[in-house]
Amino acid sequence: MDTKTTFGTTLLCACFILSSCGGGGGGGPGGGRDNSPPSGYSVSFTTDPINESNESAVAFTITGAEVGADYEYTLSAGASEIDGNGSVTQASFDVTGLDLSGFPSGAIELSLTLTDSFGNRGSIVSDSAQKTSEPQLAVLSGTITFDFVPHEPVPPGGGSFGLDYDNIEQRPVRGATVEILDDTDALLLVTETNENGEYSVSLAPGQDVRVRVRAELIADGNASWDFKVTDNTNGDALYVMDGSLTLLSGASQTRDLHAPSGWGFPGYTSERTAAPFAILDTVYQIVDKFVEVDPNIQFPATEFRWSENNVPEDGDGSVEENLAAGLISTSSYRSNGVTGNVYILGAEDEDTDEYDPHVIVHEWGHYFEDRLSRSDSIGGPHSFDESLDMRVAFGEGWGNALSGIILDDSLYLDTGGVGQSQTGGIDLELNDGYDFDDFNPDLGWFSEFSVQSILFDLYDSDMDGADAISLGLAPFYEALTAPEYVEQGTLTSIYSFLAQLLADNPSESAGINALATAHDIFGTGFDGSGETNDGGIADTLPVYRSVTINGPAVEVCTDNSLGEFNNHGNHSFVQVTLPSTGTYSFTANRTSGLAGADPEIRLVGPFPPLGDRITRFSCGDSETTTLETMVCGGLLAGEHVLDVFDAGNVDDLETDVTGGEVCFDVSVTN
Amino acid sequence: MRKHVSLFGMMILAGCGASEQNLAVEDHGAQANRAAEAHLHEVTEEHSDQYLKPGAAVKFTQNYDGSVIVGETETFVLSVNPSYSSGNLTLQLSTTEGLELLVAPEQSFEMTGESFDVPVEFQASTIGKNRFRVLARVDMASEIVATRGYSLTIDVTSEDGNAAAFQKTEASSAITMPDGEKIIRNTAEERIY
Repeated sequence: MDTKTTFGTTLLCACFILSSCGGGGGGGPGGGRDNSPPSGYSVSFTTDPINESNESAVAFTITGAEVGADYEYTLSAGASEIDGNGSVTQASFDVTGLDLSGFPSGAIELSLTLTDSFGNRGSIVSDSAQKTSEPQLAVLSGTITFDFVPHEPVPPGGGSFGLDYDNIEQRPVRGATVEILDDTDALLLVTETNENGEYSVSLAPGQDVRVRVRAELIADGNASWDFKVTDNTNGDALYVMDGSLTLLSGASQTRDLHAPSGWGFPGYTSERTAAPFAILDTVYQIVDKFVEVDPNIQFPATEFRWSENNVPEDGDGSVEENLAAGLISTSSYRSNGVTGNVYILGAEDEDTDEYDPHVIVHEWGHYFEDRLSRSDSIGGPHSFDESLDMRVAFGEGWGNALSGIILDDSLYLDTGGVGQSQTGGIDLELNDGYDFDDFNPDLGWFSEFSVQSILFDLYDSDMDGADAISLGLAPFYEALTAPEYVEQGTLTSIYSFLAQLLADNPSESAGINALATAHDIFGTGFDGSGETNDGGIADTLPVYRSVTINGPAVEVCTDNSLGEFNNHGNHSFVQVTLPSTGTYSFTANRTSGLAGADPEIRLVGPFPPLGDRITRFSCGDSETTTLETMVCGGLLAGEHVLDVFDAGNVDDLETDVTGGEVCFDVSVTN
Repeated sequence: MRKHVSLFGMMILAGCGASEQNLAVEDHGAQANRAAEAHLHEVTEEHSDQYLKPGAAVKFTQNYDGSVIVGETETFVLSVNPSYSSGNLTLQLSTTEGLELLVAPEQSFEMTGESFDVPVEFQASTIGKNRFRVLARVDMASEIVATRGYSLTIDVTSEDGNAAAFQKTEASSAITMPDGEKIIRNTAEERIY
């Protein structure tokens, strides 16, 4: 008899025959001698792999065994070995409770034989299993969702409508970073949610962990991006939502986290946890569309700064003080030339934009121009139906159109008011042929409305009016990021965009030109040459004038008849080609108009010393009452544009006496 | 009143061999990180670097004197400057609970292209920061509406000039994580099974 212990083995049958003694001499069944050894049996591990969590209770299974036979087994790994034996009472059974904690990592071999009561010994059968030093991991998974508050349906025939708190939808948080933290807030694991809001990680059980979802989208692969939702009124802190600190037990555990809106009629009554994730979801849709167009796109990092303290108030402090206090005026994109961030209103009963995806995409469109393309827009307030500086009209129209493109929804909606019960908006599909009593914006190269309508029609698959074209998003991306567009010697406008689009897609010229013509845009090329639509201000044509170095002065006129700061006619544009790097003098001298004129010049061109950056700058200003002189040294050779305007027409004080029509002679010397 | 304040940069052209000269830069271009390499510094000038969301072309100014004592009745003039020569403009006026609005909360105007004044009167009932709010709604066509929000902080003080703590529910406070990152922890609804 083998007297070795079985190291805690629990044998299902502890009663065995002393097979090693050669049997009982005729004690076998039937009394006759059986010369056939046991056969047809096998053995296999039921514990595999073996690890720290199960190594003290390993089991294996024997099948096809001859009842009445004895079994002997050996488990071995290197110098470690355990033997055991027992008697077979049924054909298949388990041997359990084997403690292999003393075994090294690696392959563990199991061998077994059966010997019947006549002493016939069967062949050796075997199996192996791997022992690892890694603990058995528990799977922690779940789904992350947030409350999305949709807009109420547009009432037939018009009327007020707003956010629909009666029909809040639970939507997945997509692409967000998920962290698993321990009880000291130390990071154990990080992953991200998939398109269904699902996450899954594996980690050691038996510890208290917390699931945290960060309001951020981050990727660093062929395509990369870094978008965060932060609070400008709280040190630009990142929004997260936390689950509870709870014991992770068992082999698997599911933890679903949901971000509630905080709404409790008639107002928000608790944390608005969902708001940052609503913003993030719109950004997810943007990223998804652009990565489809360019799988290698690289998005510079930016933040969407939202707070319930962000109100439509201007504030009297510095820009930084106002932003930190939430006095953001309205939802906007702000760039300091190095970085840019989007600020989103969150003021309950005034104006909230976290559930206005079109607004979020619109502002992201400015980020796109600023960081991946080019924008010469001077920004400022604007409306769908205003006649604007062409740079502003293009930038804002692009933002509006992009919102419809990304969301595949032409209805641009923006909610606000008490209870978020009011909505402003416009259908991007509107063209020039509609008949509304009070909405007849002047169409043209200066019209945000024209730009948004043309761009959306270029994209969409619905053919309406002059729209017989459907390009999708890719041609927009290609045109706006083309080196010829980014480094153009003119300014960003509908002209330069269409010129680049036509250059990239010559076979689509008929469809593109038809849309431009339908919106009374007749100029062609990057500079809009040949334009005949002056938008009611004759001085605005031609779109660009030109001046030669040391040549005769060219007269330009500016006006404030359609508004101030960024309206049509406030700025005039003069092209000049600098033949070589050097110092140049630019002058604007009043020739007629307002006696109290205050001419100003800004220069747009390749910016020294790097030369590959287009910017708007002034330098070496000196001025008398009616004469502006600007002397710039180190200017690079190439095309530049002078932005000439009168200070009285851009101070946004339309009721004062400083603005009005005024003309200047512009000259350049060296 | 709209403010146009933007960041301008001052750049020294020492690297290009030219006579040193200052350039005031308003950046609207791509590859703006090059600006950092060019040692930009901030100065302030009368220009906007702010790209706003679209809305009704209505501008507001007001002459609120900036202070009100609890129990007082305060008046000021809200000047409205729409860019529209026709159409209907509706102003929805509201306040937070610490103020009692003493004028009609909704007022409609036919626009003529001219600015107009709206008298505002309210009584301050609770010490603390309150808000006066305006939503302008321009009905341009049957299915086209443009809105523009505007608001004003009204700081109601006691007779000795002391103000109470801000009344609005405070946003969650930021905390600093061990790695120095600042976060705002909001609570999730959680289901564990």
